[in-house]
Amino acid sequence: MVRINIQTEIACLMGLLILLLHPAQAQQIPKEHLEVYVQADTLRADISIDSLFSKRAIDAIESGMTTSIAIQFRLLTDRGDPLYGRSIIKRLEHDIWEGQYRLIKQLPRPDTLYATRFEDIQTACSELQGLALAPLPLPDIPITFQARIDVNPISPEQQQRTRRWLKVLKKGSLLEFFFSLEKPTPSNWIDLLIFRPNALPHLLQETRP
Amino acid sequence: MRAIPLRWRIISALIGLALGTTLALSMLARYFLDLSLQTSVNVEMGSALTGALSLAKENYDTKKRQLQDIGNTLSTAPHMRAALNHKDLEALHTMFSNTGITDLKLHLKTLHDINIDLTSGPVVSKTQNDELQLALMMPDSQHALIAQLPLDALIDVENAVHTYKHIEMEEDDLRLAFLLAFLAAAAGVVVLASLVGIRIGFSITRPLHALIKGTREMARDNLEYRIPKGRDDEIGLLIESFNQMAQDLVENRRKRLEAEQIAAWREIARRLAHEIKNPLTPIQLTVQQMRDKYDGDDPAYQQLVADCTEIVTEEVENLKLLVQEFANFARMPSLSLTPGDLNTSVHDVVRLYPDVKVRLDLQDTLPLIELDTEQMRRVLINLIENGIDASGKKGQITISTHTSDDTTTLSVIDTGPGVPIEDRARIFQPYVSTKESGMGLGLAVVRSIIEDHGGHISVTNAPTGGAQFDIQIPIPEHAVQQLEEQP
Repeated sequence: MVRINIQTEIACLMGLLILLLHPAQAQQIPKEHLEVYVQADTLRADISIDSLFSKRAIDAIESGMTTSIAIQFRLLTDRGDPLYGRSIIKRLEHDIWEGQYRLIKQLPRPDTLYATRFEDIQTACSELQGLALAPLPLPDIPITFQARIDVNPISPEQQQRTRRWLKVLKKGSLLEFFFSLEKPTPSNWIDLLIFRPNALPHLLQETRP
Repeated sequence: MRAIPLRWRIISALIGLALGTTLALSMLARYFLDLSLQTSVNVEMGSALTGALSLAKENYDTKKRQLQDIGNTLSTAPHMRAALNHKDLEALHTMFSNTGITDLKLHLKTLHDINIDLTSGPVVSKTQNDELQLALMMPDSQHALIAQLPLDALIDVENAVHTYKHIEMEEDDLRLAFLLAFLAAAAGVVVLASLVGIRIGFSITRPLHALIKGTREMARDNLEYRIPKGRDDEIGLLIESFNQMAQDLVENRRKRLEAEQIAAWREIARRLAHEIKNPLTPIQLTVQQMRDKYDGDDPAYQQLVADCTEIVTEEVENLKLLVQEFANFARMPSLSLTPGDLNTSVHDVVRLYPDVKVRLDLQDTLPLIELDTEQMRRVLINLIENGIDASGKKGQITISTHTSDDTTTLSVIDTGPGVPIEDRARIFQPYVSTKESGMGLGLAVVRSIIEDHGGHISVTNAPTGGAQFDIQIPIPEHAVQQLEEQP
């Protein structure tokens, strides 16, 4: 018979307690529009994400908090093996004094969009047109198109400021064992679409702006 | 239904106590935690910070407007143009101060160093170092006047708002983390309490189990069983009392057996004395009559009869002495105890042996003890006679007395060969003797008398090799008190 010592039992109980108190949140990416197609020798997608920014995120951005936006896509085979991946990493800065938004794209090429209206920023982040997903050819098997989105209005600098403010959150403290400012942990991958490459529509390159 | 063992009741009581306390403290901690977080994160605080940020923004716009106006004025006012012409930064600083804007840092830079188009007039902008900056082209068209105003206070307001919002976002997780941290610490306390409970439970019940085992052994007539003490607290005292009780039982049993044995021997002695004594006198008289009535003239036969008569008479006398000894042992008189001095008894008896070498080592003053003087004389005579028999004519008898605590001890030591260890246990039994002569009743009588005095006699070998008889007689309580009061 397997004997479990008391430390293991306590650790299991604590773990169970934490799990019970931290129910897994249902991940969902609200999307207005999704279209995957073949153009020339590339698999592309048009995606329109609805409500990319939560109310809390918008509130944080409006108050001038620098926000990181990570949108990641990947293609998986029917056996779950990754085929291709694509990441869009952006940093949104809001200069509340000058009333200016700066959307700084770091990947794949550094680029900055300046705007004075948040709606323009929302559109730039939510409307992804002609997003190159993978070069062709792809195996003619069911392919799962997945995405995950992480919007984090807490910059590392802000974490430091908050840590200084909350003096109990020193590194290595007991509280640190249960709580961390280093957030967010990456959200879960969400299935957007399952398709066969041969069944996708083909668009002529010149027909798209 | 079988009752829950005491051990587990103690352990569960301690765990229950720890759990109950922890739960109560958890609720209290939760209440204070909520209170604490509500004190710092609430609607009023949020509104106040948002308002402060709005005011800071207005302040920023005002400063920016002021700098722009100053820039425009510098570009057109003649006295300012003169100051610019002479690059008189001190005069320019004074002019800025007069407008109500302090903390300005002024310096000159070449147009090449600043990446701002100043051809259409002064430009006010916010730098990456969180400063409000006025850039103005100098009259020489080669340099620019840079006036920088730090925005630290405004940035602090912005950071405070951001931190507040961050904490507000983390409030639920933070509250949960505090609670979990408290529960973890409380769990540690509960575990510790459990371990302490187990230890206490076992430390109490283990000796109780030993006591239970001890009583069971005693019930099985195993009076030699003893419980290891191992501790100095009340439970240790209980174990000690138990062991003492077992020891007392052993001693009482021994005394009872010995008393029964002596009583049996006395009965035998009484019957023997009775049965032997009665025919002795007729035997003696008959033999003497046979001698006296012979009227023949055979001198040889007459001599034979006379010799036989003498032998029979002598043996009958010996038998009478023996019978008398039996009778004495069988009819031990009851003690008549009066306060007496043991040293006096010793001196009285020693006087009876002027030819024997007796050394006295007596304590100067002995407390009076309850004595039957006659019987004690009998004891001393027996022991001295015993010593003489063992030591021979050239031997020495040493008699000593002393007191310790509540006992008076009298020792009689001879210079004989001592008593072998195997004989020491039975030497006080009746009809046991290591001597060729004697009935072995002397030491039995001695022990009987001493035990009737409430005392105890034992035999060992003295360091010199002879036998040492130690008699211990208790000192009465009032005499002990008198001894203690003496300086």
